[in-house]
Amino acid sequence: MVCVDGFVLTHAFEPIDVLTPEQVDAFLPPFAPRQVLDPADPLSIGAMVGPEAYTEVRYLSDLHLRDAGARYPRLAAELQQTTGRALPAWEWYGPADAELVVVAMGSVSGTAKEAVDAVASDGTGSIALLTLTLYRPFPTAELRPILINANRVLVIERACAPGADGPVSADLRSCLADGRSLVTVIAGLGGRAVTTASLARVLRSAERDELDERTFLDLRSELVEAELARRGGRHDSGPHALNVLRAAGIPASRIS
Amino acid sequence: MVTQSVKFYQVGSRAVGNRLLTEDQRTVQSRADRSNALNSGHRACQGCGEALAARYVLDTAMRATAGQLVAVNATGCLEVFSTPYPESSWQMAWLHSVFANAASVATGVAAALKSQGRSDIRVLAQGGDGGTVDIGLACLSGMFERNDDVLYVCYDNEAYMNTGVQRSGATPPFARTATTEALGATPGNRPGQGKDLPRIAMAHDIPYVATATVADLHDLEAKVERAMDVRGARYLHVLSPCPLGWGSAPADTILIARLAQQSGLFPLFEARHGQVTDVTPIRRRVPVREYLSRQSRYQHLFGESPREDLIAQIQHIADATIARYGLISKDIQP
Repeated sequence: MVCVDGFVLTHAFEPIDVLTPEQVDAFLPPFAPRQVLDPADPLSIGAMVGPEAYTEVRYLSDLHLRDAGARYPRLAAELQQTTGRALPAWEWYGPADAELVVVAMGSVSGTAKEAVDAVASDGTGSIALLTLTLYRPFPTAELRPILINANRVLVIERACAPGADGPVSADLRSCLADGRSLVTVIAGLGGRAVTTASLARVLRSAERDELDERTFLDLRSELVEAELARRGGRHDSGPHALNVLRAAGIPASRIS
Repeated sequence: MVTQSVKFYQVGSRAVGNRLLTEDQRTVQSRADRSNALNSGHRACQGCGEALAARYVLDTAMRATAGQLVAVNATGCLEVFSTPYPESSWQMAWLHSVFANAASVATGVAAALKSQGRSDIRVLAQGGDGGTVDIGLACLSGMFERNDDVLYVCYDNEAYMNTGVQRSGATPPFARTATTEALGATPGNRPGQGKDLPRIAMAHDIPYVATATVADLHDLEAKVERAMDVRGARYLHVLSPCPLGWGSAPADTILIARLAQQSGLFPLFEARHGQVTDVTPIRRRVPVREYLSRQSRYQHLFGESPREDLIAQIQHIADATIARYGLISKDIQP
């Protein structure tokens, strides 16, 4: 499964460093699809599978994906050998026994690295960054031993799952020993900039244990408070976006 | 190719057969060397119009391409009754993806064949009215607009039959479906809604658009042949009665399709580049009542307190369609 970081990579970054066809051919085996649409050798592709077999089909999908996880390190090494590109399943940045481990995925990782550097230079505690590249299968068993020493884990979550932890937080939780605290920092929603300064600020709060388990980076609480007050405690769906934009003073929101 | 139009004066007697024709004028289906692309043994209901139409369409397209044909299928009855894994009735290269994207997958298959230098292999996409006029319309419109080299065939049975007869955008006014119950002042499907996809296809100015029914299988085959003579995006809309959803006798499928055409409710025409180039005139016009009364989906219009007002509305639709396409020829006396 190939995942792409939405918005920041799909909408805001233009240069793409594409491998040459020769590099790709050297890495990938020749393209030989198992099934082809060929009038000379006709096949029915995509036939309907019902309850008789679907459970087993999904079991096998899961098995194959987990198997791909076991083969990943060897494939990553081959990729590096052929193309010079390192693509480890995850990257650890900082002391191995860091007390606070920051977990990031995708385009926010660069900013996270700078924020971790800034906080580490304070010298107040030990901090490390774990950057995830392999998302499925999730490397639970591999991450468990390296997170064993972490007192606190902070996940920078680029998604908000109302009523639940974010997706990366939920996966990470399964790697932690009992009683370890996990803090979710929801950041970058709707393309809002994730700045080094803001991130460093929450990391420092996390070091001091002052961070809520669920924190929205750069949340403008005064806008939320104003909207909640305006709705008089009612929880209807309402035109929240318009009201928040009006309270924030966005000119276009005043045109009616 | 020399063609000669043959008039079947037995129409209505169900006695028309290939034996009345010379060898070269007989249907593809009557030939021993037909491909049987949709083979027997599938799970369609008795009297299924779609199975019959698909068999004729694909065998004709297979013959027109000397077997160099691949088919892409939308989700729907045709897909479900033909391929319950590990069974398959398709004796041809066939691919099913999902409900919405048959036209886009066909576009991709055509592009892949072109890039492999195999433009001798032609692509046919097919689906029911749900997959075509509702769920897959955006993909289909894109295929038309790009003029991709695909013949898209819609087998129109006027509702979602596979999932339990729910209304689609092709369900006609006042027809009862599971989601348009025969209740209230306007029972059944509300009038004034729905989509006329052949006209939507024509609005894209694609090279070829045609309509057909399972009542005139020679005409259906001829239209598939003509569609395969053309490159680019082509659309064929085939009225395919559904005994289950329409509440009609399985033995009446052909008759009902014929009545749809003869009442004027379903016009038979061909269009090229957005212009109607040929229509099949109605030779023996019938009132819509004859068509409606044979289907239990319209039974609320008849009975003890018949809804003559609603039948008159449907008749008005038929009259307007006849006028739009000029289906009553001046030399044919009704």
